[in-house]
Amino acid sequence: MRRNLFLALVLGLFSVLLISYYYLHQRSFSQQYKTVINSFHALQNNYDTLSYEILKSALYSYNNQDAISQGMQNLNINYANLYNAPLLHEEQYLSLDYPLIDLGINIADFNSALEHYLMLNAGIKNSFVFLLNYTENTHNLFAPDATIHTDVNVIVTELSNMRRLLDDKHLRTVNEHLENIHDFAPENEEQKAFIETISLHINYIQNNFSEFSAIVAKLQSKEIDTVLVGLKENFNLIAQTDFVLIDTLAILLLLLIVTALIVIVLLLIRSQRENSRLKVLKKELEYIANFDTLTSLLNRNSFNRAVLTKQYQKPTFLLININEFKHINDLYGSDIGDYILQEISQLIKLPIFDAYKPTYFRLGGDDFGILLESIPDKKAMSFAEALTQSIKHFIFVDNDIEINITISIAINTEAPFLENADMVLKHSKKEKSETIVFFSKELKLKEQIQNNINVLQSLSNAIEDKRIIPYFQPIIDLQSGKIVKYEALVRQISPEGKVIGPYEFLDLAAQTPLYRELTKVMIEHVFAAFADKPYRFSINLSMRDLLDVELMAMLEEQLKNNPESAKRLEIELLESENLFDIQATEHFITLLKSYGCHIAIDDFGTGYSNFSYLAKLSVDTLKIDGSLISKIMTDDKYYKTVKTIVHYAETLGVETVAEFVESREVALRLKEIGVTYGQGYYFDKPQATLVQKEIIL
Amino acid sequence: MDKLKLFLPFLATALFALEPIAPLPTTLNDIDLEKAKLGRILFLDPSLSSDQKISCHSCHGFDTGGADPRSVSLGVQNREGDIQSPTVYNSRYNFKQFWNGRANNLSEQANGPFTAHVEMNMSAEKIEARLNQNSTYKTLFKKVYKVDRITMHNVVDAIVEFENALVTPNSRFDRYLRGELTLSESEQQGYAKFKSLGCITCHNGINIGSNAFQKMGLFRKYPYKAQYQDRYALTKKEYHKNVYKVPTLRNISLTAPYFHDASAKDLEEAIGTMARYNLGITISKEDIALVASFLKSLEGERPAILDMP
Repeated sequence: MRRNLFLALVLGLFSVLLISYYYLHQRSFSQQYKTVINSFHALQNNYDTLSYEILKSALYSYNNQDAISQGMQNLNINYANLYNAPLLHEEQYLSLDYPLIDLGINIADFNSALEHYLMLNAGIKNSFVFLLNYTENTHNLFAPDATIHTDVNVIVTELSNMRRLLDDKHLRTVNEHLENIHDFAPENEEQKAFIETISLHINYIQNNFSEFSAIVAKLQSKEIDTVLVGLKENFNLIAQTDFVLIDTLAILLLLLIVTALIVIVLLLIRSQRENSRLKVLKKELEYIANFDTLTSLLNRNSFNRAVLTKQYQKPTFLLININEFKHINDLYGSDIGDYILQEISQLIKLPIFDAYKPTYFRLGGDDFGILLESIPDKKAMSFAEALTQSIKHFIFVDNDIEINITISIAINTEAPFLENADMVLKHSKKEKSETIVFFSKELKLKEQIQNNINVLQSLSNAIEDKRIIPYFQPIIDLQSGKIVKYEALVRQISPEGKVIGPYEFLDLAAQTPLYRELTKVMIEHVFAAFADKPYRFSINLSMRDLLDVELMAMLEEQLKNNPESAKRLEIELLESENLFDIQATEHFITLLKSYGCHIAIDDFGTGYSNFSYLAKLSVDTLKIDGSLISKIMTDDKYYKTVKTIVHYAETLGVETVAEFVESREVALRLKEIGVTYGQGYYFDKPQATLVQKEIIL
Repeated sequence: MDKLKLFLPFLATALFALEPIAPLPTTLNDIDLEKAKLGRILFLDPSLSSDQKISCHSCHGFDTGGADPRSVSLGVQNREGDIQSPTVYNSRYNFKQFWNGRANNLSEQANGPFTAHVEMNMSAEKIEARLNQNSTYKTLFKKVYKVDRITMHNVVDAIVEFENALVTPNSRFDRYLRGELTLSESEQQGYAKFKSLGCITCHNGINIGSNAFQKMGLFRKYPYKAQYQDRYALTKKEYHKNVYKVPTLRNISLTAPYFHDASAKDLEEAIGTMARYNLGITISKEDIALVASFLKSLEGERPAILDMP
């Protein structure tokens, strides 16, 4: 672009220079040409005027000769002007130098001939005047019959004819009669004086006439005219080449201008093209600004605008979130994640919404939104239920993998729409994954959120101030009543020294990066606590922890550094909802076992507990969930369930631990069923130190 | 008014077309008075000659018809000139300058006397040196020519400007030509003789002469003396011997003696000589008197520039 601009500038400059050069050259040449031509014309005029004046001087007796002398001077001046014209001294005109000098010689000759002519003309004119005037006197001076009358008359007539015809053959006759006059014997002094005077004039005419007529002939020869015309023709011939040069320049300039025009047109076309391309790009950008490119739904910008510009008079907003979408992405990859998002973007467009001017949005990640106009709350609830059901029963199929998806919906009619819905949805999802909630101001969500922030803040402070410590609860061999191992449980100590249990912060922390820190701190503490103790001990990890590469690396580091402790360690794996990556779990268990660790399944018997996979995994211990244990005395169903679990565990050769043992009866019953170990308040509550005692059942 | 201005010259041409003599203009429009006045000072200044005694005016007296009443002028160290000094009046209308026309114009002419050995015997360098030492001249030239150094070119220019102003208008004859007065009987007859005898053939035009060359002694041989610079001295053509510029007849009654050789002491004698040699006639005393009477009517007014402050 810059190069083009530079090129255009250079070309522009070049054209301006060329035009200037052309203009100056053309002007200067035209001026010089005009000067020369004018000099030619002046000389021509000058010469013509002079010829006319010469003629006049010959004809008139009394003539003002100023015009002739002025004409002679002008000839010289005009010739000097022509000779000094700068153009004629340029190289191509040098061939005119000789003819030019020739013209100068001609003019000088002409002028000197003219000077001579004026001298002779004066004498001849005066002689004729004299002869014409004085012949009259002969009548008085001589007798009427004197022959001299005839002689004088003949002479005057002959001389007049000669002068008129410029022919000197008449001179012979004049001579004969002049002899007669000379022979005439004067009778007195007057006659003698007359004869002398008349002879003087006749002689003058006789002597000078041939020269006079020669000069007149020379003056009439038009030599200057011929030379002048020839010179002018030659000059014009040479000037033609200069004109051709000027013409060529003009054509060049024209070409340049035409080229410039073409270039401009091309540039215009190009800029037009560029323009339309920019328009397309602009449209695309506008689309990107307003639409989600993956699902083609309107995006969050559009949502904000719709809300801001109050496109809905009485809006109802449905926020739709895909449950556990992050894990779907983790498990199946983002391609399948994208596919599911695209499918859902279409699935949410239920025809039942159509009556309420629905607008569908993808608000980011796995959040979708629907804006509806003036829909009654009850209807919104039932529509949301319908939507939840329709998604739940839709099978997403990709490459033979079948995936079931559930969604959560928050319904909200209060601004700020998205924030309120989001808040209520997140809050409710903590308790239940599949949910439809209706936002109302009475939920006091803001206070809860503030409370959550406070909890997290104190947890963060506690980690930083090393106020996270493990508590230990002993696990008792139900047969011997002896403590066989301790379960490490996390406690936070408030700055005032108050002990805070995990129920107050652990779930909240699980949603933040603090959770990893917390787990790390616990692992470090526990390893330190049991490094020089002979007891077995256990720590809790969730399935999600197994997928945390950094955390696992840290754990493995501890195992490597403390091989003795590792053999006494038991990992209590907590089942997670919806998630059980059997491969990752197997890999993890194999790894731990290589260090001599034991593996326990925590809270077994609730949630998604699956007997089938237990067989695949080399688990050492099953920890039967406390909610089953607490009811075995009152509910036969629970009793049988626990019995079945124990039986199953015995079959697999796996030990069992019963949690929540709170009374002697329960302990006895468990012992009777064959549960290996017991743990609970009946034995001892968790505390900061390791208790040493024996229980007699 | 503009139309009238255009019309007047046309009218004048028409009126005088038939007359072979034209009157001098009554006023001059082409004179730069500043230059002319500076020229007047230079013209009168003897310090421009080698002995600081001779000025232009020494040989072209304003009261002697612009010419020298002596047969030959005396230059520096009283050196004698070689020809009778012609008038400086109306010289702008001469077709060439000097008796033999060797200068084409007044500028060319003006350099002559400055450098002539027998006249002012100077050089351009000497004149420049002398003038540049003179603070008055320096101031004057600075004022007129805007120059710090006086050059010969400017000196000649000023003198020529002054000479251009030396025109003697309103002679009786000019006024007669313009129809402002009637000539006396003898003047009228004299003019008629002037024409019929043939004087007019050479003495015509605005300056009544000075527009052509002519041989002294057209019909009878006039004695030739090589000391006088004639056309022959310039061209070496035989027929140019004794050929001189036809002199002006304006103010002729004031510029005696006459001819290049000052051979005629008065007007009557000059008329007689001319009649004999150049008209080839014997002229009567009566006719001489008539022609002389006409010639005296050609005496014009003293040039206005001379009496300007």
